[in-house]
Amino acid sequence: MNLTALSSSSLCASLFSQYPDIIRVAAFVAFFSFILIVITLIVIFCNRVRKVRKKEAIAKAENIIFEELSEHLLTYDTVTDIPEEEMNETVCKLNKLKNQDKVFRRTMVHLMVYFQMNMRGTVANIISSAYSRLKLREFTLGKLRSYFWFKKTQGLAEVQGMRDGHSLPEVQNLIDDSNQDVRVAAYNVLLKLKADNCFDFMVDEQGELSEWHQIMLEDAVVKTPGLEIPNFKIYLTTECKGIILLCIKLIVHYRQYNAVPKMLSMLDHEQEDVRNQIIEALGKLNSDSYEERLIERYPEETIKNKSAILIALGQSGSTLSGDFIMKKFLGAKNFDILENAAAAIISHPGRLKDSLTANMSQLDEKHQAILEHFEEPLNAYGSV
Amino acid sequence: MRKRILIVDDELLVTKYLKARLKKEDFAVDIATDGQEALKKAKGRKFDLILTDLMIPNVAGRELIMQIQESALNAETPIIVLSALSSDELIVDVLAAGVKDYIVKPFSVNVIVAKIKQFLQLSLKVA
Repeated sequence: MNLTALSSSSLCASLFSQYPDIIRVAAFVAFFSFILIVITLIVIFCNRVRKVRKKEAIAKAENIIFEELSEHLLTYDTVTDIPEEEMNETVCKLNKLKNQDKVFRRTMVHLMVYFQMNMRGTVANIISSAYSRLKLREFTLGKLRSYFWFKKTQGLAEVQGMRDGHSLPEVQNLIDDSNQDVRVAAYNVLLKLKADNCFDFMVDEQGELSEWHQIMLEDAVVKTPGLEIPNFKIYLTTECKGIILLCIKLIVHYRQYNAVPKMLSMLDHEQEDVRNQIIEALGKLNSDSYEERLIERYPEETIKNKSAILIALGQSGSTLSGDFIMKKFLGAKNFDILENAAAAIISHPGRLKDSLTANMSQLDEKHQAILEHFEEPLNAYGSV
Repeated sequence: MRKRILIVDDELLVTKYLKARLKKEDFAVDIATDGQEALKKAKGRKFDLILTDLMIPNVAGRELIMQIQESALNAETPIIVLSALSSDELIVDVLAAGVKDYIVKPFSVNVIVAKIKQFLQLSLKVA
């Protein structure tokens, strides 16, 4: 054995000894790369096999659990119709499966959340009762107490999916989490489950809420039926920019006109995007007395916000806004201003456009072309 | 003779459960998991009622509804839409296309069974 190894290594040595060092190094690198490629392919293959097996195991578990639920529990019209004996027997069987391995446990939770999210009434009540009896809440709560942020958000999604009000105290603990995704997911659950003080996060949140977080929270507020909607102007005093932007969107959605004076007073806010959103919101709300303040603010604003002011003024049908937009349109040196003034003219309910058409021939080619561009419904819609 | 219902949805567990539940109510149930399969089935046999989701692979939404309504065998078949989409505009649009009812997910299976029975009795009376 040793002799064979010795002879093959000496053969190798003698084979490569006749080549220069560079070739020997290249041969070594090629051999090493080949080994690495083979190992990578083996790892990929093993992972695929494992994935397929896992998928099969999940499908099998899903089938078994579904059969148990649909044959023994979900056939009844109400929870009280299920004979105690049958309920106990089914729970006992599912309990065994749950303790058998974690694939069953995870699939069971997944399946129950799935049913809860797709169905309500009897099926939802039966599933809720089974979830409770199987003590699956403990697993979800375990996720909420996990060290990993993704486990926590997974647990929060389960609490939300199961509409499990009993877990709210545990959810409350996560509103101070250091990870923002976890905090926002917790706010989301509190809103969806209509917890007491579910809007308190608007005062407490200090981090920067991303656009995505704002969309998630706006969606949670708007799409939760029966949620008691507060007056969002009280939260405009917060230091958190994300919360201010979220509140402005909600003020517009719920047409809370009493927030207009507060928003007008915030037109000199230090952050450009806050001012921008306020300007847009004022235009959309189109309440009285916002035009003068916007016109007053115009010279101090950036080009982006000047454009927003023109669009916002375009929503109002007054002569004051009409004259102002016209002045800016005719005297515009910057293309953005010209473009947005033209869009504002077309969208102006006072039909500023009509007064212009009479004098269209007096306009230069550039002004005429841009007005014609915004007369196309798709272009006007896109800009406003 | 048993009434035949076609369920069109790519949510397999929901369709499986609905099928079991409707069978218990003595209906014959066919399942299609995508628009093309649904159209193939709708062109191949007459159904007494079609229950369909809007967001399904291949042919979906209004297009599917229109093609079913144009099919020779199921032009008059009542269609009930079962969807997670809940915008007013969409519901109005779909109802205007001649759909009998629009049920938003999450749904109550008892309500669906009651509606199916109601529509089938109504269509029986009309016939």
